[in-house]
Amino acid sequence: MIYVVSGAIILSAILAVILRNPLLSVFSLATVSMFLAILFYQLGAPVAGAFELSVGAGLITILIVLTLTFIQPKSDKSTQAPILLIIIGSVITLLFFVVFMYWLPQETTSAATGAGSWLGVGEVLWKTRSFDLFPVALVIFAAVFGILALLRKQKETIQ
Amino acid sequence: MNLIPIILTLFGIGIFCLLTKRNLIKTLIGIELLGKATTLAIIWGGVIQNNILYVQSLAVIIIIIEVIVVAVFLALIYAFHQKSNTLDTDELRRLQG
Repeated sequence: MIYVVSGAIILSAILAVILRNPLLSVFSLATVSMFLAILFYQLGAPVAGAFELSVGAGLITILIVLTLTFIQPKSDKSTQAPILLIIIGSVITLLFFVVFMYWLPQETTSAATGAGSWLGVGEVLWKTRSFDLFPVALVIFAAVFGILALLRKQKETIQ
Repeated sequence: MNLIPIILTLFGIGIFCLLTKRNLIKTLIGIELLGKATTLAIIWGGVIQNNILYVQSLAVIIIIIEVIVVAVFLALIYAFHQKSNTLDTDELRRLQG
């Protein structure tokens, strides 16, 4: 089962690289994240899987698609993905996801969904690794201010 | 069960994308693939050493940093596109000096 998911990851990654349409490439990248989340779950890492699914397949995809809508000219038809293809791809991906979740090994599922796993990760994160959480928070703030400075400077240039 | 070939393949695809593609969005996708291969390698290391809790906390931080990298890169892409009206990485050479 893990090899099937791994093969799907590699296939989606290849599609993300070779597809010419940037929108379809981004959707393939989201599929990579989704299958990676399933793999994390199968390996007994449900917290990392949940983060990968919500952040990797959700937030990053939305950010890139939003940027693409800002920078693509409306007359550029070559980058507009066919809607039917997107709908069919989404349905097939959702079906794969449901089937994979249904066929997960029972022992992995029971071990991964236990509350102890989530509490254990939280304990490690806040107690053992509290030292490097502060620099990570600083990095996040620096990135936010950097993005704001970049966009503000750009706005001033346009005006 | 050994995930090392999967990790190396994913890493290779990311390197290939970085080296051969000239579109900035493709470059970002290559960086993302490298990050995902790294996260998978770290999780796999935790599985081998039976220390999955610590490794999961590392993976969570890596995923958060990955989002920050993507957001900054997208802001740079937007700024570069406003300046040069293209996403071709060859145009970045004009920024030299």
